[in-house]
Amino acid sequence: MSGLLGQPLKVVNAGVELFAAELERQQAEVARVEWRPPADGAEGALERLGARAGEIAAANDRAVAAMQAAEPRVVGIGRAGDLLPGLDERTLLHAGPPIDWAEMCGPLRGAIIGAAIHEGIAAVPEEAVRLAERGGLRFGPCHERGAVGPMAGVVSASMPVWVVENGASGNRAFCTLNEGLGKVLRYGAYDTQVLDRLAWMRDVLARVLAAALERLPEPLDLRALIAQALQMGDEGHNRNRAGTSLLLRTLLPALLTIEEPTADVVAAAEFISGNDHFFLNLAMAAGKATADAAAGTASSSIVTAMARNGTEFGVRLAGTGDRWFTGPAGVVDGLYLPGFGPEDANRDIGDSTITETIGIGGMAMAAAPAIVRFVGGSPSDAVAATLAMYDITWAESASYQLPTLGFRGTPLGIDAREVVHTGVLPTVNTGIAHKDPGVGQVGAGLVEPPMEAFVAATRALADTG
Amino acid sequence: MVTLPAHLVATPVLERLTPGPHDGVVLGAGATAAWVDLDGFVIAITTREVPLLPNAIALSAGSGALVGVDAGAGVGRAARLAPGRVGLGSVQVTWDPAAPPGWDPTVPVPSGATGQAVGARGAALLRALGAEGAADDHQHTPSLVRELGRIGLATAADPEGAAGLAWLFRGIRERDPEPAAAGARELLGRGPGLTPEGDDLLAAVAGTVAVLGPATGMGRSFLHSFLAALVDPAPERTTALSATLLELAAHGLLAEPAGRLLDLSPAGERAWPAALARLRRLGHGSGRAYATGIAAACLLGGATGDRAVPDRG
Repeated sequence: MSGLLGQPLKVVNAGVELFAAELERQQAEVARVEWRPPADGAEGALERLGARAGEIAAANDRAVAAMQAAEPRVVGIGRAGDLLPGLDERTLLHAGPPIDWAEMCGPLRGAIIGAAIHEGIAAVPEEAVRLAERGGLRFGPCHERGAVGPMAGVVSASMPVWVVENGASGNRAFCTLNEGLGKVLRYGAYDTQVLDRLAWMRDVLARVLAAALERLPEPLDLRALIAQALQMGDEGHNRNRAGTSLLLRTLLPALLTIEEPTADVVAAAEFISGNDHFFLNLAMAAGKATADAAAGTASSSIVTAMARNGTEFGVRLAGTGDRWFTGPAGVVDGLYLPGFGPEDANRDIGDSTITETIGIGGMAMAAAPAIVRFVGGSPSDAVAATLAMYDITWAESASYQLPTLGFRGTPLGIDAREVVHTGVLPTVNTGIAHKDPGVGQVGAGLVEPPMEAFVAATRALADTG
Repeated sequence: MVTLPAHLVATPVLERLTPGPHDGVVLGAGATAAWVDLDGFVIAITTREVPLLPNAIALSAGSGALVGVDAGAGVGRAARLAPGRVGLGSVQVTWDPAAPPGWDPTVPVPSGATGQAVGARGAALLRALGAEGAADDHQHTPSLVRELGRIGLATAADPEGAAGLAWLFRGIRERDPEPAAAGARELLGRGPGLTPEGDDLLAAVAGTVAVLGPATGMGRSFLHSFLAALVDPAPERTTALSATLLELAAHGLLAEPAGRLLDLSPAGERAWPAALARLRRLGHGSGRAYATGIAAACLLGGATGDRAVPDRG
């Protein structure tokens, strides 16, 4: 020991910054290693998975390769009940993992009520509530029917949905059309204005867009649109202005030539033009089509779904089949619209974390520094958020690149093992819904998924070996 | 240079920056706010933890984002202000000047609002603050002041402060600016901090009277005299920041949660409990003082609102 201390020391400091700072103050050379203990309950699973590292690496390579190769394209718009398996008039799909009426939060209940009235199952809200309480309605996750939905994410049979096909693997994904901002069904509103808008979207907007899509020379290439949007200041989850603009530009020549009433075409164009988030639902469907291509890859620890129902946050892995691993949905930390604050907020909700699952959204915040004006923070925070994600992802996207990071690919393929190993949770930015149904969005911010969901998923994967 | 985007800019600030540029003076900076004096109007640049203020540029960034202001610009150093940009040494706050993210602190007053509704809101607020006794018995202003002291309002617990409050409240009840002016003389500058508690109470009362006074039957002449009595002496008697907030309050412009307490619409009726919780997070005690002042002013103003009381303005 005296020999060791008698010569200049080079120190490696792991964990406590105070030690490193004090040594540097005394002119010692210090190398810092970012380290923290694995998440509670994960050590045993990580040890067992460590013994299968080669097998899992090969599986992850396959899973992420499937994601990289995905070619999500819009092939049409159709009626949800005709396209989603088992979606009859009394079945309502929702965002997030499975949940019963009794556990549903305010915004989700409001959306269920609105959808029931929209379908004609109930005439008034009270009737919808009675039906729900007495088992007259069936509920299920959008994810389990090949769909995704933003915020409450309620899908009912007569609603129009985007049909997105993965040209590489043939699987399809579906998502409703974005209703717009303010008081909308996805935030739990169900007044006359909301219901009238849903009816118009079903009867007019869907028809116009379907006709326009048929006029396109080839199916809408969502991968290309998303890639361009990321280089124009979007991140694909809470900033979709560029994507919406690109969509409208792509559709415009077709809209001008379809044989639909001019008033309907104008109304459709104005509707899309007035909603900066219209492209979100397409980005989400693209995400679902991309992530589902990796689902079912045996032994893979790659996350294929992250979704919230306003009460619970659920995770699925490629190597654990259709199982959900859940934890409490988080409280969003963010900026509130004037008149609202944390007391008004519902917990995290929506399937829109499918964007983070495929390397956009919170993963790509470095592409959208302007987003901090809505979710809080500073532009450097946005860059830092993306950089942190490379520690928990398997690869970098070949399609989605970040100009602010020298055109580096976005972090792709969340590895559940690394989440529990490093303690670094995926960055999620999201809208904040009022906890009461019918009020709408009250802000936007950042939220952390529950670590217990990733721990449970990792342990389940270890059990598959 | 650190650039911080603005989330919202209060319209009174936008109005004073147009046209630009202007030179201001940095008065100070802390973890959650920095203050710039622009020709006697103090602009607060606040982080997202701070409730919206009527003189604020509210940042998207959180606590600590303004650390560079103290290090760079420093107290007394120049600040440069223009539409879309405020420069504070090594920190710059920006927004789109063509489409500023404006926030209007004006409180909407529903048509048909009555003195009874104003009084009922005051009573409800006092109960929420723990002053049930005051809510149920508003006839005797010294009792009201004692009750406020009982629930922890420092000004009410101090003999001179209590006397000032009693004069102020009497001015509201009797629709007489003279006792209100006497109360203001006692309360202005009373208490520690950037905005002394006495000033917070005066601003709360001024804002309440400006917004809801007409609904309780207060005439224009009285309103003008009453508000002038509360606000005019401020520049010589208290901090520049406090004087700014008083001036804005006299025009019915308050911090967002404070304004929400005055919203008598059905939406406001649902929202005020949450707004009260937000308001209590304002400053080290300012929020509580605002809430108490608003509650008392509503109670007293509403109590006489439906009776013919001579307007001695």
